[in-house]
Amino acid sequence: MKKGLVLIMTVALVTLLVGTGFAALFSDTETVAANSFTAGSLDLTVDGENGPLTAKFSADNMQPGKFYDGGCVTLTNAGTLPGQLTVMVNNLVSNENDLIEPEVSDGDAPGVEVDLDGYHGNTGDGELWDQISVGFCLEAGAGSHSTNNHCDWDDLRFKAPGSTNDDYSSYYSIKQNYDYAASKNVVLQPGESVVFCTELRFVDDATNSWWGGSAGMTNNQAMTDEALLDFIFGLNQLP
Amino acid sequence: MKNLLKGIFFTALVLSFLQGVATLFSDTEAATENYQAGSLEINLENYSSAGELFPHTPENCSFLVENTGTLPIKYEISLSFAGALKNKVSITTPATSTLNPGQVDTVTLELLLSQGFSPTLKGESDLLEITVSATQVNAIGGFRDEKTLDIPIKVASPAPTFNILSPTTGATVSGKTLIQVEVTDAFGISGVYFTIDQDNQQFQLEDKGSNIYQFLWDSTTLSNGTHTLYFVAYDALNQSASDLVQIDVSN
Repeated sequence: MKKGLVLIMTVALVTLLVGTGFAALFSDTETVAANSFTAGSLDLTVDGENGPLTAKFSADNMQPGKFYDGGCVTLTNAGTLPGQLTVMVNNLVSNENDLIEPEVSDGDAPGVEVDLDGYHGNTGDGELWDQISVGFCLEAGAGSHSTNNHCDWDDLRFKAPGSTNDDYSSYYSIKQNYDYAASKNVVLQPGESVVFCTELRFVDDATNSWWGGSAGMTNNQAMTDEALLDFIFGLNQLP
Repeated sequence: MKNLLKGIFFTALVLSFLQGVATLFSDTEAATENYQAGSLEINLENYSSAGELFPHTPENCSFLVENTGTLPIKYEISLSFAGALKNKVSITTPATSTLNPGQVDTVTLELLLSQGFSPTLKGESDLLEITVSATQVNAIGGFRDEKTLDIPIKVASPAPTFNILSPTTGATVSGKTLIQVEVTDAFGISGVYFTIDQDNQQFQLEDKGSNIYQFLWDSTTLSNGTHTLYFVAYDALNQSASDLVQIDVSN
């Protein structure tokens, strides 16, 4: 019994001594309060605006045989992360608007899109979309070509797949839901801007024998018609 | 058991990675493009019809060409008759002209009845078909419009006019007497005749040119005394003009 009591007291003493001795080692601590971990952002603005956007491109009173500058917008990466630019088009609509006598005399009719060969990429009863080709680019050419709000030969021109020239819309029907910028790999750094411009050509039917032949299309059918499309600009986070 | 745990762990890893890709940051903005085609259309209106045509006399008529579209145009005019006046009337064709939207041109045509003219044209009528073809100012094809306008054209049909030169009323004649009348008609005369005292015998006067017709009449065939000479002239439409003169025959 006596031996047991001595053992207990010894263990208690050792424990007390060892514990007290460790606690008394030198130490120091500092606290940094309110640590925060903030996610980056990708924010694309068009002419400094976020959607919904008003119409940014237009061309009025168009006539066959002429080229038009459709207008330019400034695309800015207003976020904090670099992003890859995407450019797509959709919602192609062609409206008949007024149906005037020269249209009717060339076979146009209310509510009918003259498209005898079945070729079109739009909704609506107008014929304008089948007769114009649209191109777009980023202002990147040399010298004034980078600031003149016009798609020059040396700007960064987007082309439809398979197109080898400036006929971006390929057979005058623009390709929808296709990322025209994918092959260009355009990366916008935070705060960086690029100027995106459009151009279009109203094709003269006398320069296209196919129209007047099997297609049965004439420029007259597109008089007063309206063509609409949406450009969908995007920024995607880099992988 | 160990392999099963490895599989579960690997699958979870892949799913986690795919979820990470799907939630990468992105932002899109849409901007609408709006294109509007212009128009090219003309309207024609008759402004002033031509008066009746007389041979070798210019006559004007006018019509209006209005650019009712939204684009400048150039236009050409072609003119033709399809009926009786085809190739009979020469027309001064206006040169090609340009017209801005909303503008109106007054086009004046000068018509001249001269080509292949014949007396039978008197009183004829026809439609002058005016075709105006409008195209864009700078295009090979492009917008175009064509309108036609028919203007009625009529050739005048006046009756001949008559003037007896000799003998004069109350004159005394004897022997062979020269009868001379002046008949005028821009389209020509088909015949001038006279009868005596409304007798059935009719004499035709000879055309001597310059609207003069004459006949050498032997008055001895009549008894002495007062007689009446009745004259009548006909044109191609069988329109007539007549006059008479009373003379005293004294042989």
